[in-house]
Amino acid sequence: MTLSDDKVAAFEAQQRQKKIEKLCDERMVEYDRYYQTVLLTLGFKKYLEAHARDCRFVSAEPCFTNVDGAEIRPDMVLQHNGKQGILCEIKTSLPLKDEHLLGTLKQLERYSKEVIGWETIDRKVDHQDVMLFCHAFDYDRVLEKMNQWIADGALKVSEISLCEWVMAQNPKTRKEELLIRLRDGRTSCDELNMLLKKNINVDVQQLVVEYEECKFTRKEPPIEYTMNQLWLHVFSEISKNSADFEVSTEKLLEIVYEYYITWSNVKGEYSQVREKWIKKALQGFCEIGLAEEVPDKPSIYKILMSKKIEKDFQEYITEKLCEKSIDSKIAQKPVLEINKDVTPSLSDFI
Amino acid sequence: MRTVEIDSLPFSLDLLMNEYTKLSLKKKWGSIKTLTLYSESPFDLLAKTLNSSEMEVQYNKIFDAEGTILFSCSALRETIKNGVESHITGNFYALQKMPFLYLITGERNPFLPKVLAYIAKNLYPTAIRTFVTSDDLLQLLTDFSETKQIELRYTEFVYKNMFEKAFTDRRNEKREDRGQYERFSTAFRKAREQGARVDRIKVFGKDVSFSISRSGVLKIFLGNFTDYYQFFISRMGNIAIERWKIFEKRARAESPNKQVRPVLVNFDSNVFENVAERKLLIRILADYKNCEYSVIHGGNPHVYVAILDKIDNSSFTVRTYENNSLILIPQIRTTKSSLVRFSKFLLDKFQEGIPAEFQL
Repeated sequence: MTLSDDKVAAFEAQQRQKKIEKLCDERMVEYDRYYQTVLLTLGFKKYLEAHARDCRFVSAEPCFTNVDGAEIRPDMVLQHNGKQGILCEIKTSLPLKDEHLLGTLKQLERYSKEVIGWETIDRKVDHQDVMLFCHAFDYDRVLEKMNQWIADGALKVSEISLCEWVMAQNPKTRKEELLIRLRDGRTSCDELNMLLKKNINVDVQQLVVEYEECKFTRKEPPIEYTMNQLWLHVFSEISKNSADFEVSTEKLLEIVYEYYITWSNVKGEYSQVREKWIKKALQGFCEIGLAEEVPDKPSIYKILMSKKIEKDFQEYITEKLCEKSIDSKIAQKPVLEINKDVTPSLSDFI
Repeated sequence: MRTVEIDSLPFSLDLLMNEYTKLSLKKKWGSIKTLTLYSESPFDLLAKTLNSSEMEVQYNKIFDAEGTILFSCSALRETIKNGVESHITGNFYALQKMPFLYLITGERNPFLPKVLAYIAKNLYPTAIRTFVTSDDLLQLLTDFSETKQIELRYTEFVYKNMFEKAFTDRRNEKREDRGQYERFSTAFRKAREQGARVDRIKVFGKDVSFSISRSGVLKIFLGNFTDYYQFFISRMGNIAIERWKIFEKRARAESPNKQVRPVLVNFDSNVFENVAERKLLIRILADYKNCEYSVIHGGNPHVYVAILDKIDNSSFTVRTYENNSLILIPQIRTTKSSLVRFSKFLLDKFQEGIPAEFQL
């Protein structure tokens, strides 16, 4: 007995829907984790500024080069005791599949070699450590795998320590706190080891104002995150009503550079928001019919602000983008490139 | 006893309004209804924007002295609902004394909700309806009662608890013995006992009978206009704009250092203690009209929602703070009117909160 075409079509539609829903859920988690990562970076910075004497938070947007001249961009940079440094990598979520996880962790190999770009006279330090911050949900799995790979030589990192973090409600005070602690290994900074061993608690409420100014870390945000910021907060600076309008990427960059200041508070080479993120977000709007490219005017977009989105905007754009992504996958034609570094789970799926 | 600052109308205008009140109240079930708008724009300019396929407003300036202008107006509104056409016509006065615009009518229902409230809605955000809190109502009634030495008792009151559930406590109106009715302050106490706030209350006393609401609607059933103007109409607007001062120039674009300057909204009970209530807040926010929103963090433990007010493309975020407060965080462009509109929404659909300066 063969299935009728209708049944096949219905089955395929159902499968498509399931895939979309699964992808949406993953994207929503990514989004929330990114938000939490920003808070983590802010919280860690604030904590060190208040409690550490030796160890200092140098930046969250550095650009280092290694001996081969390749660029290295850790999430946070700490320095202590004059010429000693720690490169920190924050992972919002780590892939479930071993080969992807190894691929992601292999990035850390570059941090183990000598890098140049420190805040010292010769831009070098005498000793450098690597710290990986992973979410408490990922910690046990990552630790086990990492030790195994280091032992069998698949992962060549040295001087690495592992921290876990989580955002949770303190059962006593009922306040929401960021908990960060050192679980494995130690750095060459005794002060930091001591602080992290006894757990760092940061009251998340203390970060509300800072978050508004620092909404992006060095890591590329999920595309929905940038789109959300642009649509809900940035576009209103250009248009005072809900009519469609045209805008250039340059104008948008001007605004985001002005309001989302650099982490070090200094305007300079390394802005908080990157041009390619903005471009990608604008492309995203075009994909889902909320913007159009203007013919013959490169880098000018018509934003279709007059469209009414009745439901949660983030949910709406996530759903639309996932539909596009799944459909293009089905048609074997990638429409929208979503950064694999940010969305390992997406690449798992696809 | 507190001294009450008294604002009066020019003498001839006062006479005119009293005459109008007297005539309107003479009719069977007659009453005068007023609502207050805050606007810096002259009424004739505002009125020009009102005419549409659904509504026609005509106006005529009949008084202009001492910074007070009175327009005599007529309005026609045509609506079609479920295929049934309806025409509502009537007259009203627009009394402008900057920065307030009072819409006053002796027309019977549904002129107030269908025409005057509709006018107010269409004038937003150029004109914003003023509103007060339950405590303000209590204060206004107390001041009136003490200054005029009139004992006020209530016949009914509507109270709302969290998330907009409304209840009416009505006395049997046929009772002849006035002593059977309780003092107005009891109504406020009763509402509090229910964890709720008085939304509207109908009271009477010697030669007076009226109802007053948090939305700034005053309905006069008995009494003279002069007293009501002095003790309620003119004061409600001032209370509102005094409280709204905190929403002024909050946008980051309006700060020289592009600062973020949040406003803390305090509730007097622990409204955000449980996850269920925080989740309910999100559900309510989804009903906020003319806006787009994104739930960035969904209530465990905090709620963080970004809101874009589509009326004037103004944006802010809302975040639960302590168990009894939330913060409104202005963004690059955030208008005063959008924050006022949102605080009115909180009062109507959630709970009465008092805005204050936020300090870490």
